[in-house]
Amino acid sequence: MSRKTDVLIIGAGILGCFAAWALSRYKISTAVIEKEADVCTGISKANTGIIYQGYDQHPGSLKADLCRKASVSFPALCKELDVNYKKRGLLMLSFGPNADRVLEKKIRNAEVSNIPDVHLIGAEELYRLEPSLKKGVSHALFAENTFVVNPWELGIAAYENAKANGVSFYLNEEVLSIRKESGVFHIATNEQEFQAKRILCCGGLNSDALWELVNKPKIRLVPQAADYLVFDTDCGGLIRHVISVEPEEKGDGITIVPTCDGNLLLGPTRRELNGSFDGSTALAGLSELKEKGKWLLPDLPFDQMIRSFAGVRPNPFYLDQNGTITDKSLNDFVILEEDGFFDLIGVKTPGITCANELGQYITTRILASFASAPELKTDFDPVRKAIPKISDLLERAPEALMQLPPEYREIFCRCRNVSKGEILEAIRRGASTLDGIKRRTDAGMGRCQGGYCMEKILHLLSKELQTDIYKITKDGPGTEIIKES
Amino acid sequence: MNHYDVLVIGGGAGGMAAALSALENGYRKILIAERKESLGGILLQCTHKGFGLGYFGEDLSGIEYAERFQLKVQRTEIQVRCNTMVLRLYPDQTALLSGTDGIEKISFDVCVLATGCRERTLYSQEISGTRPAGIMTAGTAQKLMNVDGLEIGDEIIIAGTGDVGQIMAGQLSLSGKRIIAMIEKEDHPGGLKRNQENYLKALRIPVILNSVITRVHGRKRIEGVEVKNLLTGELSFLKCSTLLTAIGMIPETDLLKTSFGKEAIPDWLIKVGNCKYVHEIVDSVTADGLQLWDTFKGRPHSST
Ligand SMILES: Cc1cc2nc3c(=O)[nH]c(=O)nc-3n(C[C@H](O)[C@H](O)[C@H](O)COP(=O)(O)OP(=O)(O)OC[C@H]3O[C@@H](n4cnc5c(N)ncnc54)[C@H](O)[C@@H]3O)c2cc1C
Repeated sequence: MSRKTDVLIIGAGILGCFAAWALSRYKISTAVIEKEADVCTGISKANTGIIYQGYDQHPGSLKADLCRKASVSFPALCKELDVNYKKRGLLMLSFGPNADRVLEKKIRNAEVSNIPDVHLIGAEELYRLEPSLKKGVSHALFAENTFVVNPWELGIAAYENAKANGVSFYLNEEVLSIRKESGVFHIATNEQEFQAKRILCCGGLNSDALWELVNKPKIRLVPQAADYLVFDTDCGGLIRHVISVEPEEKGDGITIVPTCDGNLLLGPTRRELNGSFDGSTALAGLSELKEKGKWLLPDLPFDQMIRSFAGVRPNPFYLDQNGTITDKSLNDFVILEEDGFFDLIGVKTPGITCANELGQYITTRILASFASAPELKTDFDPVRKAIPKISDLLERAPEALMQLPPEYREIFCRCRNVSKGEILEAIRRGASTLDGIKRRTDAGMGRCQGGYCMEKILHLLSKELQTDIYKITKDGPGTEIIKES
Repeated sequence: MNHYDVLVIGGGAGGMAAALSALENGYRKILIAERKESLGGILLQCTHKGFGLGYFGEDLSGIEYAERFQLKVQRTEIQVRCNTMVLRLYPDQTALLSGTDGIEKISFDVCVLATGCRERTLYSQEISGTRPAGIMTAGTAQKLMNVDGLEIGDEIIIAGTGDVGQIMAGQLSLSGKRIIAMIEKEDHPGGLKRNQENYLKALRIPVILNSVITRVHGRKRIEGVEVKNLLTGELSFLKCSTLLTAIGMIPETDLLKTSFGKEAIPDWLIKVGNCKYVHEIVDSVTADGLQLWDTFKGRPHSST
């Protein structure tokens, strides 16, 4: 017996989660298949987390349009999903005439695309805003309406509300084959078979291969790695805005982000891969970041570095008639559609920014493809509440701590002040791995990197999930934390 | 608001000694706040001997050493709150305590910070490669094995030769696990002489000197590391399925950072033991706690 659904989404990255959320408002059934043990573990986990305004994009492009809408409505979205974000503003620095011209072009883009709050500032104002930066800046583009967010937090919020509104998520299931028979898709995973009227592929790095399970090859993704360094929250005060450098010569600039949690994030690099991406950082990338970081922010204390990680860009390229990759890289969002199969293929920056808009956009297209368009639900429940955070309350309203149930008074993570109650709630909402807990609560994100709380969380997971402690994983099967021999 | 003459934060060796000596020095109302289930701190996961030679003139295990001090504290009117973490200190000599008993703000005359130290982690180093399962600090491994009675893995590499690393190498090797190597960046192993004798030499644990781990391999669980010889620059690959780190300890003073930021530390606060600097042996932490009041120049106490 196969499960029947109107729409089947492959991949629960941020795009799959937001598409599911948008679809959950309508009277149709939606199922999401995700091969990993949790949502938002792919590209959506390791990126810069900036909500851009769209001045980087070609006026008239889908990216420019969605990005502009997204940045204007971002605070409202975060309010709706109860997601933490910070308005940082972005300063893009120029150190000379070449970069000045690039900035001017971006300002013109902003004008043409009708993007508010983007303007050029001079050196004096820049150093008033950010006195610690390297001297010698000629101009800076100031995009005041730039936000930062924890990308997985945003995706998880959409996932939770989609689930609350009837979307079924199947984790640890990988789509292996798809065939189409009399207008219906038959999708086989490692666990079961599904029948679906429409498929929406949000398979990230695999979205080209998944497309080709039923359709003619059109686009191939060439993965490219991106390294990052993370600095302790103590460094957060060093700068207040997102800083990026427009390189004067050819090459890549650098971005420094004061994150939502007050850490500093340095990166990304742009590193070619030979072969597939296995999550590795490279020494060359880390050294490049160190060098550039030191150059741009001379006071950056490298002994406060707590972690490094790598992400991966799914760069889309057209294929020619013989199926070989052309050098035509695609700049705009690419959405393939063929006979009921939709594919958000190779969505790079600003995919986090546009996740909600892309979800709505693709939902409109999917709905329109049905003979009679599905109606809005009348019982859609828009309320999604974040897990209460002890650390936030501590800053804002310590008295409110007293009102919480007792398990919220027991601190598990000493660096970020995460309580047992928060972790229990994360488990209740679907976290089944150590990293799943970390993404939902920040436990283990701090300077000791789980040295104190890992053992406590391991026991709690084992108890709550009624699973043998040796089977508890970091991030899915094969990543068991401890091993019996 | 409950008021205490002395609030001791952390009930390890340093905190217990500080509280006991506070009592001897005339302070009456003393509170120890400890975030774990019982007093003893890091000692509670140390099943091996080598504690107390200085203070008790006996060779005790860490647990036995802790128990002796727990008893001393119990026999006094010192108040103890376990499962309780001090979330914040405020300039007006108050503190916010959170624990299974509830959340409470208390006031005090003097505060002793005895929060110990934490272990340096692998990825704060310049290390490339993947971020797989099977990597933990030696201290976490020690807790999992000695307190929880669990196994952690086999085919083990230990980064660094710090004391906890050597002790774990010894313990794991005695329990039949394979220690592939300990990797040390200096030209000699770290840690105490007696640990080197008891573990490295006696159990013939391979130590690779002048070397550091530069890359981690393995997509899901760790499969090996790249080791760089710092003298020759030569790179080699070592297979393993577990990696412990013993690359140093850092005094834990987070509470001061969150409470006071970059402001000066108030004169009513004193640090004791490993949160001041990392001491080699517990006997000197105890001594530090006991001598505390001899040199304390802060605000005099009000209750005498
Ligand atoms: C270095 C970097 C920096 C970035 N910075 C920003 C930024 O600052 N701001 C911004 O707006 N955007 C940014 N982005 C873009 C953004 O991160 C991506 O556009 C977005 O995360 C893509 O989400 P996704 O859902 O398509 O991919 P993913 O998160 O990778 O999701 C795809 C999912 O599909 C699953 N899957 C794949 N194959 C199968 C299968 N066969 N069966 C079942 N499941 C499958 C995968 O496991 C995965 O979970 C950045 C991207 C990169 C790489």
